[in-house]
Amino acid sequence: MKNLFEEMGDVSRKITKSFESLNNLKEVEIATTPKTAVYSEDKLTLYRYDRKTEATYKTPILIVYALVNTYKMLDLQPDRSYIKNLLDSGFDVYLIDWGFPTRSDRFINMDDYVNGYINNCVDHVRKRNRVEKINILSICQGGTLSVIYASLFPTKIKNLVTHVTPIDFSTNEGLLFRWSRDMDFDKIVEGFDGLVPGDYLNQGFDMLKPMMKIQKQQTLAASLEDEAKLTNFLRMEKWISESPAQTGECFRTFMKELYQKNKLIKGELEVGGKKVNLKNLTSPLLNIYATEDHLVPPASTIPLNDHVGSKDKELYSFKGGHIGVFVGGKSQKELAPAVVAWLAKRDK
Amino acid sequence: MKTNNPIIDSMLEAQATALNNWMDSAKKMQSSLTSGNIPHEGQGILKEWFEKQTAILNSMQQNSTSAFGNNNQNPQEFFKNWLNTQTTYAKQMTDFNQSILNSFNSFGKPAQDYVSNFTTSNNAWTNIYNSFMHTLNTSYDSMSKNINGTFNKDIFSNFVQGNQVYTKMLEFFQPMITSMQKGQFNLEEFKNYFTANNYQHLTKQMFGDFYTGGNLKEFYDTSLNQVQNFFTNQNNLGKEYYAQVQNISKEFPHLFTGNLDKVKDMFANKDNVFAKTFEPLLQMSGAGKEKENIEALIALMDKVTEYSVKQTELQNKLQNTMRASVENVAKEYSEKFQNPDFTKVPEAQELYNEWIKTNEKLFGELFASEEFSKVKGETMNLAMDVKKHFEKQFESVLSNFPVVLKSDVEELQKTIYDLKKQVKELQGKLNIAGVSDLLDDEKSSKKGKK
Repeated sequence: MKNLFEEMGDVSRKITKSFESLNNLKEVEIATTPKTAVYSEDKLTLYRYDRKTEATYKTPILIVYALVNTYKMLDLQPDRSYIKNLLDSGFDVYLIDWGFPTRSDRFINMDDYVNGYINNCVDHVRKRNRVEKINILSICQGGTLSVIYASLFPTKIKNLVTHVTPIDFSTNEGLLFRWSRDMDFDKIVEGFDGLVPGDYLNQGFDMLKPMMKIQKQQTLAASLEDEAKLTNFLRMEKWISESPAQTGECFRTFMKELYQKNKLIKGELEVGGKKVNLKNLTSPLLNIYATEDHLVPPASTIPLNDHVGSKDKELYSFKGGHIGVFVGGKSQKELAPAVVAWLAKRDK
Repeated sequence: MKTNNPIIDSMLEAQATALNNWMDSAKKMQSSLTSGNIPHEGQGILKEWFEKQTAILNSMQQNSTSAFGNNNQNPQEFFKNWLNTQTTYAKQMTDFNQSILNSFNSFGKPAQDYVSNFTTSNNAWTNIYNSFMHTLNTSYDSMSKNINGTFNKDIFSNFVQGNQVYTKMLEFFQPMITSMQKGQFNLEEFKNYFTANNYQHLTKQMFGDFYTGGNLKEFYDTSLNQVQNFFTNQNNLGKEYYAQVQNISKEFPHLFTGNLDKVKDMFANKDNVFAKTFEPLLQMSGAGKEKENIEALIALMDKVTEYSVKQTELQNKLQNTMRASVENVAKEYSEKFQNPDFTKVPEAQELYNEWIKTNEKLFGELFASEEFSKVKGETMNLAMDVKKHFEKQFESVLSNFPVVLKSDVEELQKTIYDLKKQVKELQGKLNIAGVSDLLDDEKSSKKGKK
C-alpha cells in the first residue's frame, strides 16, 4: 500500500485539481434546444420546439414528463437529446413543463393534472395544429397520468408511447413499492404542509443505490483532466439538482390509490368523479420498459399491455436502466429512431 | 492552469508546492524507515519540511495579501489558520513515526506489547487523520468560497465530502494494512479496536439525513426549561419527573451511539415516573392557558421520545450494517493473509472498491428487508407527528397575538384554489370553439368560397 502521506497527498491533489477545473469552467447549461412558450396555466408552461422547416408528419407529439425532477433529462445536451432527435426526424414537438409548485399549489390534485392541465394542453395542441388527435409521448409518472388521460379521453389520442411507466403497483421488486406500504402518506403530506419536497423524494431514490452518490465522486475524479467528460458529468448533476416539489394532494392520491391500493390496474381508480377503465384506452400503444430499471421495475410496466383495449400494442425492451433510456448512446442510436419509425407508421 | 483570480492562483501554486514538499519529505521518511535510520534522520527531515512549508506560505502571503482586500477576507487570519494546521501535521507525523518505530522495536515481543503499540500507532494515525480532515473542512472550505458559480461550488463541496468518506475509510483500514505490512494481522484485535462511536461517524458521513440528534437536544433543553418553570410555579411538584427528563437531555447526542436497550430503558423510566407522579399533579394544578400549554408540551415530549427511540433503532440498523461491511472486508483479507502465498498488501483504492461493493450488497439487503421498511416507515410517520405537534403548539401560543396563523393561510389557500377551479370550469363552458367546431367552420368556409 502507498505511504499514508502519499494517500493523503493524492486526495489533496485531486481536490486541488477539482477546484482548478471547476473554477475555470463556466456553469453548464442544459435543455438548450430552442423552444417557444405557447400556453401557460398556473405554474405550467406548454412549449413548442422551434422548427426551421415544416414538420414532415401530420400528427404532433406532446411530451408529458413526470412530476419528479424535470423534463431537461430529455434534452441534456445537443448530441444527447431525445427531443432533438424527434424534432430532426420531422415531428412537431410540444412539451409540458410543470414548473416548480409552491405551497399555494398544495391543493392541486390528480383531477387537476389529468382533466385540467393535460386536457387543456392537448386541446391547445389540437387547435393549434388543427388536428382531432395527437400523439402523446410520456415518461415515468407522466406515463401513468397519460394512461389515465388516454383512458378518459380516448378520442383525442392518435398514438400513445409510454416510457418506464409504473402501472401495476403490486410488485415486490422495487424498493419504493415495498417501502410505500409501511408509510402513512396522509401524515407525510400534512407533515410537509401539503408540498412534498424534491429533496425528500431524492433521498428515497438515493437509497435505492446507496453507494452511487459516493461512487460518483470517483467518476468526477476521473473526469477532471478531460473537459468534455467533466462537462457531461456536470450536466447530469445539474439535472439532478433541479428537483421540484410535488403538490400534496396529487402525491397523496398517487401514493395511496396507486402505490398502496393498486387501483388503476384493478379498474377502481376514480379521477374527477370518473372511473378510469383501461379498456377504454384504444389508441395504438408502444410501451417501453428498461430491463435494469431499479426505480420502476419491468414487472410494474409490462402488465399495461394486458389491460388496455388497444388492438395495436407493442412492448419494447430496452437493455439498460431508468435514466439510460433517455441519455445513453443506445437511447439516441436505437430507441429514438425506433419510436420515430413506430409513430411514422401510424401517422396516416 | 491559471485562473483569473490572483488569490486563487497564488493558493493553487502554494498548495501544489506544499504538496510536492510533503511528498518529498514522506518519501525521505519512508526510506529512513526502511533503512532503520529514522531516529537519526527523522527530526532533520521534519525540520526541513517545516521550514520549506513556512517559506511557501510566507511567499504566498506576500504575493496575494494586496489582492485579499477586494474579497473582504482577512489574509492574516487565513494564513495563520493554515500555518497552524501545517504545524499540527508536523507534530502528528513525528508521533506517528515514533509509534511505528516502537512497533518495529517490539516485533517478536509478547502480545501485550504488540497490542499496546498497535493501539498507539493507530491513535497516532487517527490524530494525523483528524488534522487532515480539519484541512478538508477549513482550508478547502475557504477555497470553495472563491469558486465561480453556485452550482460548481456545490459540486466542489460534494467532491470534498466524497473524499472525506474515502479518508474515513482509510482510517478504518489503516490499522489492518499497517499490521499486515508488519506480518502481524489479527482479525479479532481489529474488530475490538473500533467503538460504536467510530461506526456512527462513518455511517453519519454516508447517511447524514438520518441523524438529527442535535436538534432533538435543543428541543429537550428548551422544553425542560418550560416544564421546570411551570413546576416551580406549582410549588416544585414533579421534581422526579424533571430529573428524569434532565437525565435524557444530558445523554444527547450520545443516545445515538448504538445502545438501543439503554435508550429504551431510559425513556421507559421517564414514562413510569410520569405516570406515577405527573398526571395526578397536573390534575391538581389550576386550570388555564398555562396548564393547557404545558400539557401540550408534555404530549409533544412524549411524541419526541417515541420518535427518538425509533430513530435510534433505525440508526442502529445502519451502523450495524456498516460494522458488518467493514468486518467482512477485513475478514476477506484476513483469510487471504493466512495463505502462505500472500505477498501483496492491498492498495487503498482496491480496499475502497471492495468496501463499496460490500456496502452496496449489505445495505441493499438491509433496505430490502421487511423489518427495515417497517422501522423506516414508523420513523417517518413519527417525525411527521412531531412536526405537526410542534406547529399546533406554536399556533396555540401565537393565537393570543394579532398575527396571521399558518392555519389561516391554509384556509385562504383552499378558498383561492376552489375559486380558481370554479373560474376555470366556467371558462371551459364558455370556450365553445373546440377543435371539431373549428374544423367544421373551416369546411363550411371552404364550401362558401366555392
